[in-house]
Amino acid sequence: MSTDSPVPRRTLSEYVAELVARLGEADPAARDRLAEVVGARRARITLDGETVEVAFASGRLVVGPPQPTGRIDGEGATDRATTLDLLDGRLEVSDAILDGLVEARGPLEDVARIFQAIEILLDAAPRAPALQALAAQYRQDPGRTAAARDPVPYARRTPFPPDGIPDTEAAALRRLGLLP
Amino acid sequence: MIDTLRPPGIFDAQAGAYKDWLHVNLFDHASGVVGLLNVSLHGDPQDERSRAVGAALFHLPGQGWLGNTEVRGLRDAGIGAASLALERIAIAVEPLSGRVLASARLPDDGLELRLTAVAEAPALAVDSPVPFGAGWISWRMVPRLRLAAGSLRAGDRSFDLARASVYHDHNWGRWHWGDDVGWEWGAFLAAAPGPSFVLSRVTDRRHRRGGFPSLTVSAAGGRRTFGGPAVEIALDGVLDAPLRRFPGALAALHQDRRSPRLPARVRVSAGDGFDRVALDFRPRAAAQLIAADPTVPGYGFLHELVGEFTAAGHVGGTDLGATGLAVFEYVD
Repeated sequence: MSTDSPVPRRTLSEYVAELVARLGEADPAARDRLAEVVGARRARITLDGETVEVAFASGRLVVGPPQPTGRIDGEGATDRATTLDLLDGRLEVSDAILDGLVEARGPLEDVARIFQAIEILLDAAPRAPALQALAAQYRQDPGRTAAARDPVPYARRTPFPPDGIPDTEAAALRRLGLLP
Repeated sequence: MIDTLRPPGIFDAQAGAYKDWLHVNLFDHASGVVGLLNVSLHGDPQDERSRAVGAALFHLPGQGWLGNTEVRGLRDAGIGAASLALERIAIAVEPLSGRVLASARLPDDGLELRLTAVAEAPALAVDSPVPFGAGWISWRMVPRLRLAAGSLRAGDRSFDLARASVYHDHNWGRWHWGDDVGWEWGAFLAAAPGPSFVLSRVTDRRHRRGGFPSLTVSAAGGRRTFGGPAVEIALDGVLDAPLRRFPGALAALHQDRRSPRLPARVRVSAGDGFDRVALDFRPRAAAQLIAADPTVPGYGFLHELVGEFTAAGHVGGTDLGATGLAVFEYVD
């Protein structure tokens, strides 16, 4: 088994910077795609009340504290418990959004770009041990609260739309064999 | 028969596609709990990107899934002649006797398991490479093992495993996740001394083209394997049940796979004029394990459906009728 050095305590800024740096080392093409997808947009990210702003300037990552008067194209916010539940497969992204556990705000195109950037990171991670190690370090970060939750059996499902599918739509979906 | 892991040699041109997989199922007939435990190796052992993956998933009737997956680098895995041990999930096969030991220690996920099981009959082996997409696959399986010792704690309950059955297999080969491959496989076990049934068929990814299926029946009348056109598989309906997906990061990436069309019923019939079997499986829940290839972009989706089955037929001069617990795996 591994005998790793102590897990460092990192700020949200440091995690974002590490994510992009490690992606660049493991998969330079994916890092270039990330910068291209983000373009000139500026995003504000909040995790457990810690907020940073992220952008690319001339292809270089710029991450820092929020600027009260600065322009923001999109915002995303969640907390540690939600992040760990997502990593552990206890919560689906779509359920997290529907339940208000993940917030994403901004014009459609900009929010879509934020999620596209996240997808590039997730897609590269299986072939990038350094990114997997960073996720493990986030889980064990001594500066962040431990994950405390009841290990209840998983059987959740958040309905969408919340009031169910209209009868006519359900009939059409059933006719096409698209419903259970 | 001696079983060992089958790592690639240093001149193996397909080493990057290496897979080795130890698998155990636990069926507790008293409670209805069905458990899956596996530890697998993915990729060239000389490549630091290669991964060892463990999964321990238990379904509690009327409640849901408990358990999780564990992903490590190969250097962080304990790899023996026929054993794979991660920090929290491990399986070991004693090479000479075939005795199987398995453990899962996932307190944060409400799961603690230890078991030792002994084969009740010789393993069935397909040691020669079976074409599988651009690569190949081989396997050996023990349809039923006797639980020699075991303890299971799932959620806030401890389970008496006195009426539990165990199944074990070992798969190895060369393929990349994301290749045009899939399979349908199932282990259906009645409580001892009842019969067991093991179904397998390799397919393409869309399950439109498949190799000949195989159904092995182990019953009081002996062991019979039906193959080729003697076996028919029918997948009916669409399962309506919450799907637990692992690992979470890959589930987040593959939102399009959140509602796969999984069957609500699996019927298998086999007959060759001498013997015949009809089996009807009704899944009650499903989990999706997403396998990422560590060296080339690509993903495989392993759906584990658990539930109850009934079977009837005539094998080796003896009528058989059975009910029991099962896992049906649908991979694409």
